[in-house]
Amino acid sequence: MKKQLKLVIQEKVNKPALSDNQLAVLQKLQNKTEPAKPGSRMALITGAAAVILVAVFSLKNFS
Amino acid sequence: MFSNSQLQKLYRYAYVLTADEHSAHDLVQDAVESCLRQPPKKTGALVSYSLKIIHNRFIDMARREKRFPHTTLDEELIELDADNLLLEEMVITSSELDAVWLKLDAMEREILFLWAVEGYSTSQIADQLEISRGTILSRIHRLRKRLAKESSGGAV
Repeated sequence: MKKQLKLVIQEKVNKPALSDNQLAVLQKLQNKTEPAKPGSRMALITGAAAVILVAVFSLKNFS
Repeated sequence: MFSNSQLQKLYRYAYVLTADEHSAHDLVQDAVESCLRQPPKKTGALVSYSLKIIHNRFIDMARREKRFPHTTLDEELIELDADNLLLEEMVITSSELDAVWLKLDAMEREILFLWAVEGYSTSQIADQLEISRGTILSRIHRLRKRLAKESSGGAV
């Protein structure tokens, strides 16, 4: 039976699906890998900047 | 982070591109890992961000395997907007679509997916695929011709 192209495409592409097993693997992956927290990233950048500053000042005083 | 329905959505998109279950699953896994490493800056943009990752990874993968067509896309714009409207009105059976689906290249299937399933306009498709709107209209023009040919049993 002829139907609107849009509907026929929707029906076609909605058929393939991840199995329960594949979904479980992906959910497990998400639980295992915590996204980097913005706070900890900020602390890391501040720390690195402080180390660079100390190094620059030390070199300046040394020379 | 991703719900099961969002994962299914990503998988269907990846499947449209690759036409292969295993490659589609690999692409989704890759996109999920990538999102976890570097989440999108805009909240609520997780799915569209992931679709973009899948699209880019697919192109990288296909180029490595030399499956992606490198042909230059012409930008004939004559009556192309009208083609877009004709696509909206087009009727077809599922077996006719099945017959033509795997003969389409990945970009053509992707355009049809974004238009029919995601409800994107031609401009939004152009943004998503990072190509000009003229190219999208040109592709739609050719797609409509091929689909019309298929639904009329080869005679246009």
